[in-house]
Amino acid sequence: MKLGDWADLKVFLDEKVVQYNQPFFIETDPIQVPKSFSEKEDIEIAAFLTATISWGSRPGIIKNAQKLMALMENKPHDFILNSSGSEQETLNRFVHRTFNGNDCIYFVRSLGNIYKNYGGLSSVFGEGFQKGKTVKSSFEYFYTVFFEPAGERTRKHIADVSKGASAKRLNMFLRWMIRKDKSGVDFGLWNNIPVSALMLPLDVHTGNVARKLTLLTRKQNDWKAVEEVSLVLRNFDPGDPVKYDFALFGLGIFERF
Amino acid sequence: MIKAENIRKSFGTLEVLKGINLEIPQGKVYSIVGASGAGKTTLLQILGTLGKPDSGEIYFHNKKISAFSENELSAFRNKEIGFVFQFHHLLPEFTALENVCIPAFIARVPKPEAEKKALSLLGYLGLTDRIQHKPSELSGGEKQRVAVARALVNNPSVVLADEPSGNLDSANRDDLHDLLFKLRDDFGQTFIIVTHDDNFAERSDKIIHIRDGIIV
Repeated sequence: MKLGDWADLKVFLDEKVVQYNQPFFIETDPIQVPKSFSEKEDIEIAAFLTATISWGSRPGIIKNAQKLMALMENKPHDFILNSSGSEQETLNRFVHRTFNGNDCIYFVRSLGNIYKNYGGLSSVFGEGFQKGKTVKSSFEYFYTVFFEPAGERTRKHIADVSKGASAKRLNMFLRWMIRKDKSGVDFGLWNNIPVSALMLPLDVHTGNVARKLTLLTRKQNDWKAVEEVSLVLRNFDPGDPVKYDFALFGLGIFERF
Repeated sequence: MIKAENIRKSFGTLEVLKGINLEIPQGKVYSIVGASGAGKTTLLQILGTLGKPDSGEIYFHNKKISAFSENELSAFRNKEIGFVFQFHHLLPEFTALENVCIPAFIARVPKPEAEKKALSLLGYLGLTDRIQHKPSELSGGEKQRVAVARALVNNPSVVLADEPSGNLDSANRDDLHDLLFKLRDDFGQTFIIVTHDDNFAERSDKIIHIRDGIIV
C-alpha cells in the first residue's frame, strides 16, 4: 500500500461498508437461513450449520441449508437435543457437495454433546477465547471439543487453525454471532468475545479484493493471510475491524472489483 | 477527563464488571491491577471504546460516548485514544517511521506534518537510528517503543495500554516504564495501564484494584 493512500482507502472502505451492510444484503446471503428463527439456540445452531456448508454458489448454499433445517423439522435446537437415532438417520438423505449425510449426523451428535455437556456453542467459543484471548485459541478449543465423539471423516469440515487453515466459515459464523450494529445484518447474540478481536472471513473474493487494494500481500488464503489482513483492517478501525468484510465481499461479489 | 459511571458487563452468565465508577484526570498514570479474569482488560476496552458495557456510561471530556454514531466513534477513537498492546501490532511491511505515521495519515494529517511529528516522537523515544527499520529488524523493547510513538502521534487525550511490558525482559521493561512516566512529566500525557507488574503499579499516580468485578 502506498503510504499516502491510508485516509482515502479508509474513506472508500467505510463508504462500501455503509453501502453493503444493509438489510438487502440478507436477501442474497446465507445469513437469511438463521434469520428465520427467533430463539437464541435455534439461531446459533442454524447459523453454525449454514456457515459450515457455505461454499459454492450462494443460492445453492441457501437452498441446501433450508433443506437441512426442514429435515430437522425447523426446530434445530430441539432436534439436536431430543432426536432419536432413527430420526437422525433421516439426515442421511442430505448432501451439499462433499458434506454428506454421515457428516450431517456427526454434526448433530457433536452439537448434542456441546449443548448437553458444555453449555452450548457460545460457551465453547467463549471459553476457548479466554484461553488465549484470541479467536485462534477459540477455534482451537472448539475443534478439540467438537471432535470429542469419534469421527475421522468429518474432520475436514471444521477448520483446524493449528494447521494454518483460514477458517473462513468459522470467522463468518463468529461475525454473525458477535457483531452488532444498527443495520441489523449480523445478530450480535453473543457478548463473550469482543468485536475488536474478530478476524476477517477470508475467502477467494475477499482475498482477491484485499490484494487489489494492497491490504494483503500474502498469496495463499491461509491463517497467516487472515492475520495479515485483519491487522491492517484493525488500523482502520480497532473497535470493529471485521465490518470491512462487507466492503471487501460487496466489492468482489456485486461489483466484480 | 474520562468518567465511567456504573459500568456493568457480563459474559454469558458471568458478570465480569459489577458497577464500576471511575474518574481519571488529565496528566496522570493510572494502573489497573487484579487477578487474571478479574475484568481488567474488559474495563480497559470499555474505557477505550473498544467494547460496549451492558449498562452504564463512559464520558470523555463530558461527552457521552454512547451518543456517538459508529463512524463518529471510529474517528474519535483514532484521534483521541492511543493504544499499546502486549503484542505490538505493527505492520510488518512498513518501517518504524511509516508505522508511526499511519494513524496520522488516517486522520488526514498532511504527510510532512505527520512525518515531522513521528520523527520527533521516535527521537524522544531514542529510536532515531531505527526509523528505517522494519519491525522484524527491531528488538522487543524497540518495537514497544515504536508502538508507544504510534499511539502518541495524533496527540491523543489518553493512551491505553494492556500489559505493554508483559513480553519484555526486565531491563527493557524498566526502560519502557521510565519512558511512560517521562511522557507524563514532560507532556502531561494521561495513561491507563493494565499491568501485572507490582513495581510499575506502585510508581503510578493511582492503582485501581479490581476484584470480583468491583474496584476495591
